[in-house]
Amino acid sequence: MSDQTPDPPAAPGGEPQERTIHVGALARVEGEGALTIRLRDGKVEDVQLRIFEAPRFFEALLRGRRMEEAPDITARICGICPVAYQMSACHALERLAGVAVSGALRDLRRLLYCGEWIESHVLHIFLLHAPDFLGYESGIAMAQDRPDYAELVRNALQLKKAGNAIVSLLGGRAIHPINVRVGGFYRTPTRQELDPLAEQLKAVQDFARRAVAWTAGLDFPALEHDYEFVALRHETEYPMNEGRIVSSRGLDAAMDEFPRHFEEHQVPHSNALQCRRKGGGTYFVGPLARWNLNFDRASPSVRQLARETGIGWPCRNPYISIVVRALEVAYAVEEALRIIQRYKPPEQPAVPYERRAGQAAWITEAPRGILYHRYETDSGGLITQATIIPPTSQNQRQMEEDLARFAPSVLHLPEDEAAWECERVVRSYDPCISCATHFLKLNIETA
Amino acid sequence: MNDECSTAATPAQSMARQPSRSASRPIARLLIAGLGSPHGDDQAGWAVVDRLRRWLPSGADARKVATPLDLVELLGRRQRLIVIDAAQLGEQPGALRHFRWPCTALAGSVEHGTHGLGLVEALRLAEALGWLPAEIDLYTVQAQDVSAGHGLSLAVRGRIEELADMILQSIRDISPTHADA
Repeated sequence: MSDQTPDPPAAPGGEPQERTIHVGALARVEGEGALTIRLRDGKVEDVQLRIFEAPRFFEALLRGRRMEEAPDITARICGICPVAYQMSACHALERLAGVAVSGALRDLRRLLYCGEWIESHVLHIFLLHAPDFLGYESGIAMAQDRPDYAELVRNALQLKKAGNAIVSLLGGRAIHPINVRVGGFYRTPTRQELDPLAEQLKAVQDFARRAVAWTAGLDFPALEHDYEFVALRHETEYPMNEGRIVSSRGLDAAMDEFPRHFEEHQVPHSNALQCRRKGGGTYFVGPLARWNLNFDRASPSVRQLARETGIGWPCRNPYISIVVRALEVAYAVEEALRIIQRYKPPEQPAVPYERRAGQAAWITEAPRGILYHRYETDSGGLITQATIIPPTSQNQRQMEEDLARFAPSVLHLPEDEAAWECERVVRSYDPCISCATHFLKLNIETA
Repeated sequence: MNDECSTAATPAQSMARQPSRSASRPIARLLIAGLGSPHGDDQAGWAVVDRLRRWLPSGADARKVATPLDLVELLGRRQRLIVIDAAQLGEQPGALRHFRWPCTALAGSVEHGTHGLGLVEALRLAEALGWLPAEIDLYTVQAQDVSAGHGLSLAVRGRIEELADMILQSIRDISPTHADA
């Protein structure tokens, strides 16, 4: 899905030489985006990751809505990670109402997130990202070419199906879950309903663990950088729904301090707002950041899998995100089984709360990284202001900086190969472009 | 869009399916999948499934599916697949089409689906995995508007019942007398 602008003819007499690498439609990413890199004399002049999916009006759409509607409305932002939106929305609004969910309800939310991580990561590892390392145009071409790759994809789809089953059971349906509410769930499962889920997870656990070694055996290009990794960190758990914001450069802040350390800004070439560190720095969110900052919180068996890869952690190579996604899938399967094993249905499916005026923010770890929600409500519980900052808009600037560093190293390649190599850098981040689109803020002045 | 595998879908043509191929097929191996999203006319496949569920013969499976990849995961040992999806084929909003896979018109199409992996790609993946049902029908309805937050357009809403009836008629050819034979 690449179209390339051909090189201009070589300039006589040592004139400066320009070259543009253009990818008209990024393949194997969620949503629609394009990429242009302009170089002059072997140096990068400009990198633009453009996001041109139809603008999304979700923040404006939420204003005037009852707080109870936020989890279902925001879940529609993304078909791949609706649970993440529901989790950030529910936690923020519960905080606003002054209640907290604990015990079995808290466990069920973590189980639901395990399901989404499995679904999202398995799709990316085996169908979107692996073809980059194996030299195929797509996961389909991979499966068509070799029976062992077809078997790999069949196993991967069974694993993904186990993730789907979790989301389907707890979310009330497989697509756009509707069973999550502020305070908990509309209905919680019985013990008996979770038993078949445990059997399904046990059946795929061996493949999930073997997938770590398989991904670690791929050939990774050398692209390292001293990124500022940013993720949640919890006192005892590998982070999903709770924690403080931490970074590899020493940031340690409460969730509601996010605006003190990060800011959104508009760039002309993209519908998505970009997020940066206050003062202008870029940062890196997602599985690699999460793992680098939290591998001591993973289970002993998953830490052992990580050691057996032979990769040194923390790791600063974005291509190795594929290994981390596999580690997180192995962890999510194990964690889901732990939660199911100890599950005792709660007495009530949700904790009661009172509507009130206020404001609150929360962050959870979506498959692609931290997802920030902030809401303001009036005394009747109507939303008066909403801010949603998805992980892809936080990584967008980092992707552009990576490409600026990386592009000179592929200048010697033919156009299509250079474009392919640049796309690979972007795909390492698993960008979800449909999540990241906002609309330009317009001020209409009338006399 | 007229080629050897695509026809404007009408009740008469749907009823003219090949009974001899259908007769021995166990109905339990039939999956009817409505492909879609909650956005505008992209809900058409789901709306048809909602309507069909009330009338399906026992053993037939009707599912709402969000992505073609989810569809692949559901195929398993199915013998027959019917997919309903909204489409942008440049026709009048609400226009119905019936394709039979494999289909050159679809195989050569460039997909700009709202579901990530496109339907044609998903069918190719299923084939590579050895999961492709023996018989596949695809019914499309020309979408007018697939914007987030919108419901079905009047043009598409007006064809849902007709499309559901067409599909029911096509599977009545094999049911109930021939079911699970």
